[in-house]
Amino acid sequence: MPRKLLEWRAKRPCASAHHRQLSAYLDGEIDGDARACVEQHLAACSPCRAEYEQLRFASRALSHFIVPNVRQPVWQIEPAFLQRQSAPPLALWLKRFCAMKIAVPAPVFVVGLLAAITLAALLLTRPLGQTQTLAASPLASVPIIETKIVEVPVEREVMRERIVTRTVYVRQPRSSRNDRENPAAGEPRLAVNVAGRVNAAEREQSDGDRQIFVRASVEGFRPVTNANLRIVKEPEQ
Amino acid sequence: MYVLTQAVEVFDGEELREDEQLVARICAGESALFAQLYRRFYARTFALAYGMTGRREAADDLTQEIFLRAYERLGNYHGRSSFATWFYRLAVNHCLNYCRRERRHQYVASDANDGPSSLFVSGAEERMAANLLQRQVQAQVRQALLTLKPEWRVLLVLKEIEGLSYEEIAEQLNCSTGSVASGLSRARQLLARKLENLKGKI
Repeated sequence: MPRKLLEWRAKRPCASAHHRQLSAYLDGEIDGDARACVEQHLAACSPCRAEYEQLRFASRALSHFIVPNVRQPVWQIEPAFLQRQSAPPLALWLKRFCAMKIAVPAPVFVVGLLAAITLAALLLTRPLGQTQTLAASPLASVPIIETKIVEVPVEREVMRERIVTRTVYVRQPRSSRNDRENPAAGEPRLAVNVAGRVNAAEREQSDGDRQIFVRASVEGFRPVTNANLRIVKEPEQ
Repeated sequence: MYVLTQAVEVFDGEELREDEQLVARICAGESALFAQLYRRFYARTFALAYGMTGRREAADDLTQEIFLRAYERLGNYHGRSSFATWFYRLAVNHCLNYCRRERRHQYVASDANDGPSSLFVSGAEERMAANLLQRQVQAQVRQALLTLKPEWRVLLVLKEIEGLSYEEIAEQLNCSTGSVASGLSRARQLLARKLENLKGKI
């Protein structure tokens, strides 16, 4: 029984059993001898009388609660709703699953639970950044073309580990016979938009045009995307 | 999805006497017969919903929800109790859930013409004033009922507004008649305490 109900019972003004029947007496739920007994008790016990008056007052007050008279809308269900009914809802399947009595020994259950918790913890605590770079990096899937030192004009200092992009010119490989038929293969150069991580950077002020160059050793240039490959003539030095 | 309209009622076959027969035929595929169940249970369901929410619009919504839910779950009725009992148990549960949800959102029901205010009655306006007083009492009772916890409120609604017996209430709330009696006693006392200022007026 709820604690509050117990407390309330303890606070009642009259300990007699009739006190509990006052509501039933008011509602005409008891009759015969029991009713006569309550009547007798009411005549004798003033706390019970006061409480009975309270109950009667509440009952009388509620007769002033008027439910508005509404015109009943017509029930009509569209076919779309009926179609939805044909497929059993997920809740029903869940309920059926819960109703299945699967006997699992307690140790197995505990071990399973612990394994599930550990797995969940591992998945949650995995460094998020790592997975993001792996998934998002366009560099991951294409091969390294070359490693070289380049001069990168930048407004700010090139930071280590920062990714820089540049266009480099490489000879297009002759990979198959078909390339012979392709006059563009072999001779021309590929202008490739590449990107690589800066390994070390060295600051250098150029005299002429007040631009700061950073001599950066950039390793592992890879084409950014295949779509960026285009065939051009190598610029004359 | 579903449309409830104020249109002229459509003729949907002969009236069947038993709710249970109706349900069996609806489950067998004659879903249009649900309209008959709807007609039979609407008034009481609306009264219950209105008693629990105290607002017309909310009661309308709630009644619709209850019927839709009953419609969805008609297959779960296995005839262990009468259909009316099954239906009202579902309705009461739905109302209780609704009220608990509303309470979490701290919704305070309010009406423009609610709240007590002093009245100066003079001669010719006496009848109108009496009417107004009556409406104020009604509003105050409604407010007081709405401030009770849903558990207490549902007892009062089922007993005083729906006029059910203790046994029927116990059946719908899935408890003993003893708990209904003590709960009602408690609920009435709480309500009487909230309406102290109306003593002598009604």
